[in-house]
Amino acid sequence: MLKLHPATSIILCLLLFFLTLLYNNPLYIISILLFIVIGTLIIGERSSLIKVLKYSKFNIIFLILLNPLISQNGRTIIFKASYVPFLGRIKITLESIAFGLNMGLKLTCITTVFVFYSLLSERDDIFSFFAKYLNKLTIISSMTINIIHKLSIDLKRIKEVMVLRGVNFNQKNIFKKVRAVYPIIKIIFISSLEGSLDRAEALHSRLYGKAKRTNYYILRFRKIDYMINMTNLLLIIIFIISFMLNYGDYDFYPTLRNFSYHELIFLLVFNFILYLNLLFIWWYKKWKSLKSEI
Amino acid sequence: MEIFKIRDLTYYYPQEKNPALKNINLSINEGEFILLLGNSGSGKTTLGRIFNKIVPEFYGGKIKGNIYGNIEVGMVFQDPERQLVMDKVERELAFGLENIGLETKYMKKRVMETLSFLNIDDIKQSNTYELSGGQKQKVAIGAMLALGNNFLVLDEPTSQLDPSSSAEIMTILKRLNDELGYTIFLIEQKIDRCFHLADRILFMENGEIVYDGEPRSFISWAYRYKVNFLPSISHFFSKLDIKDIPLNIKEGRKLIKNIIDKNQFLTSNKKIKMKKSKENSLSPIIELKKINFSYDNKKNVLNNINLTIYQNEILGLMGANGSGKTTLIKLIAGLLKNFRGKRLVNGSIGYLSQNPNDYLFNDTVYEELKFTLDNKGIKDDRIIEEILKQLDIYKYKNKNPRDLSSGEKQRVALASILVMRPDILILDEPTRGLNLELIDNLGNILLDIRKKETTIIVVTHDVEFVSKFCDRVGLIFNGEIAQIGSKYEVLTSGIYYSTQINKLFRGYNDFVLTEDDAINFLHINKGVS
Amino acid sequence: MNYGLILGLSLLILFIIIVVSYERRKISIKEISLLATLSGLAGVSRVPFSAIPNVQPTTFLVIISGYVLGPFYGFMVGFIATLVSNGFLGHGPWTPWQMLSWGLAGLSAGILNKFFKNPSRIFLSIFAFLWGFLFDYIMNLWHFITFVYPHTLKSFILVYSTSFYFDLMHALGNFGFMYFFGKDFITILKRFKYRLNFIKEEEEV
Repeated sequence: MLKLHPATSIILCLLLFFLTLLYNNPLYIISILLFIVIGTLIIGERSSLIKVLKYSKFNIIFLILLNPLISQNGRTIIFKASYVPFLGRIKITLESIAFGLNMGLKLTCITTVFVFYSLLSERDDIFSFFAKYLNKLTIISSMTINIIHKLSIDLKRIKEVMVLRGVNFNQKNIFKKVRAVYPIIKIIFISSLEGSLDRAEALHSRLYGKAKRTNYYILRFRKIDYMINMTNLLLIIIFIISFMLNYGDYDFYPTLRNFSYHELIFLLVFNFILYLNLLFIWWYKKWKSLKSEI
Repeated sequence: MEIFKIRDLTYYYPQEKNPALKNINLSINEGEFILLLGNSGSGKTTLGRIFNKIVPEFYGGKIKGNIYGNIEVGMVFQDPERQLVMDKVERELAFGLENIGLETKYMKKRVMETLSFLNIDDIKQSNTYELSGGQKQKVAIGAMLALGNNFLVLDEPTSQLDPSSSAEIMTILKRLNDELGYTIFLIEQKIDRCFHLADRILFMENGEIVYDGEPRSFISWAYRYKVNFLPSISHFFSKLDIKDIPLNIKEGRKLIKNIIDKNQFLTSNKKIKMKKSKENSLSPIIELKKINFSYDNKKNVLNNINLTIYQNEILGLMGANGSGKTTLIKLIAGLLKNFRGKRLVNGSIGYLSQNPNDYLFNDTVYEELKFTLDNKGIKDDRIIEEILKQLDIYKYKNKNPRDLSSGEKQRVALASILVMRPDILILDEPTRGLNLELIDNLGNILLDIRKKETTIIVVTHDVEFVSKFCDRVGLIFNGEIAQIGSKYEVLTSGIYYSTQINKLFRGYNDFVLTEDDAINFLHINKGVS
Repeated sequence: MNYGLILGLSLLILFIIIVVSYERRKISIKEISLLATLSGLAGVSRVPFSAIPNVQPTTFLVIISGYVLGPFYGFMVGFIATLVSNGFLGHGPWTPWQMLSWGLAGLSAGILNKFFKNPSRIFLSIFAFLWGFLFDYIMNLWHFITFVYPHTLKSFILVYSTSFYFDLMHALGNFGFMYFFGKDFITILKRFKYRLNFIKEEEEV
């Protein structure tokens, strides 16, 4: 977990998100994916990466398989079938497989960028950051977190009570299942509505809304934030240039084309700037651990 | 110095015909420790909410009379779960300060000082939802201290806590009052916990203040009108026909010594003739042998438990929080799988959890009982009326159980289990949040249920309850049964697990646990002399 | 044109508008607390109850909230419930779309109440049933537009058919909750709203 200013990590991750959506060129997509993966590994959160990939692997595989099946474009035919149920006559081409793979990579990028984001700033800082601008929403969110924790304990307890009152939760029929769940839901529904008044009283007692709020934590831009935001700015410039020169684009159909010399040079520049961030992160991580040793 | 004054205050909640507060006249001086007593529904809670204007600003309604005093009042509520807003302790303490727009540099100092005063510096980075009930209440008090309030109103702050956390909270209140001169206005049910702290007592009934005065004169007042609101020591002496009723154990022991000296009592530790427990003549209904259990396969919550529970007995299970009591009863109830050892249970089980609200969701009391019968596939619903009458809630048959008082709710929850006619009834902390009268009611109900061939297991922190109503007591410590036996064996040999009356008579006769025992003891001795 | 990008951007802008307009509204403490409570309820009921996937009362609770408390309130319940509970269950590209889906479920229920004061039980149940399908379809739409090419009817059906079983379970669960318990829960919430008195209207409950 790093301790970047939330604004820095939001900008960086939004950039990555939209770059992935915009670029079609597999080289760029692979660069971005590698960036996220290496970044996560530097931060030392391999497990969160694996967790999210496990969770979304079916979606990704589905995309990779789906595209070649439905796309009849492309010239390099690998497989042909005269009749497949529902799909009819299909041909599977090298181009459509490449297209599917590229889309799979894009989805992977977008999925992992959410993990990456959660590692860049501490949740406390994110709260403080939003509290400044969206104070109602942050208070509601943190109250909701509290309530979810309490209710999930309540749920377990009430379920036990109901089991001992003869409710059978292991129903196969969906409507019977709904009926079994009903007492639990109704009880937490009524109890927490009653609790909502108590919570409001507590807010009142804490003088919420009595004056213009100040903030307990003050977030500061550190050196690393300036550095990463500098590359963010450069990335935006690159983004605009590439958009104008059509560099991020790539046509899979009718046949895969080679990358042009200009494209590759541009990719190099793009990657140089993007991967500067990794250097900063690595340096920051090391510097932080050095500092903690002292 | 007077800091708060209420003159001729009458208040109606919206759409209520009867006033919640009637003709209240009250003035509060700086540095007072005021204890407000009264039955539930007497208007205590409403009065407590007058000070920081929750009533009427928040609830609306009609108000007559005058309130003087413009200092900010800190408020701490009953339920620790429902008054913390933020996710981290430090942030929680700062929350009020942010709301009043204090500058950051002053905030840090206030928060740090509060953490140090309450001695909770170690949990400042903890998540509020992971704290224990006692810690949560401390944080709630801290949030008010940080705001700089030196007048605190606390509405039954310990009713959801176990005795040791309650004692900690009371110590904090005492320190605030003694060391910092803060004004404390405490609403409480458990009189023994706080009576000695107060220097003024208020008693409310039907929305009116019917007593306002010193603790000592409260004793003689309550002796005449409200015996159930005497501290247990005074309660006992009130039965002895004595003029000056002692307030605490120290005074009480002096008096006992006088009585004993005067009458030349036998002060030997000889066990007076009590009903002997007839363990051997009874057949076991539950047998646990070498039970081991752990939730995460790492640390054992239950360690080599051997326990036999006999038919038709009332067994009390006591022990500190986290000692494994709750796990043990869940295991007995059959809610836990994956344990090692042998579990033999010869009968059906009914279970009453700590919170009666966990049971109540039907529109009428009758339907609540019917729900259990339907689940169990029992067609004959005559038993519903029978149980309702037995628990004295027949009159509420067609009322919504959620609209009843806490004691009544508990009885409905109990009834919803008793309709199954369980052979074994397990109760988890049944006395929490109840006042003395309701606790006695509950105990008598249990004795009544026991007559119908039911075995009862009560998990509780309430020593007085155990000493009055249980036959045997088991002490659980670190997942092991430290001691089990008749209550006269277990509750007389400890420091912590003993009753007020026992502390009064210790040395004269160690086997006196309850008021009845004590009267019995004095009586027998009188007979001898 | 890159529709995926446009959709993503417009969602981001939409969220910013909603959040800012919420901040600017005058909102009482009681409403804040109730919003947190209902979001907490909806969020916690995402904990699956059984082996049957997708039988969660979340959508039901969001719809009820919107129906009783109004479109904007309903939207916020769905919005915050998802945002916070995904903090426990895991954020991903699905988060914003789930926020939108559940938000819209609450919103539409609020609008429904404006047009039909006393809808029949079966009507509400069908409404909840439809949201069982719509919920995933909103997410799938982005998936379809962004990652699938070409956009033909065939590819559309293929994308949407894969989640059919899950969506059906979700829809049936919603139907069951609404059919058996809808009136009951609506009455409770209405009574509570009346007690809170935060919208001052003389309404028979």
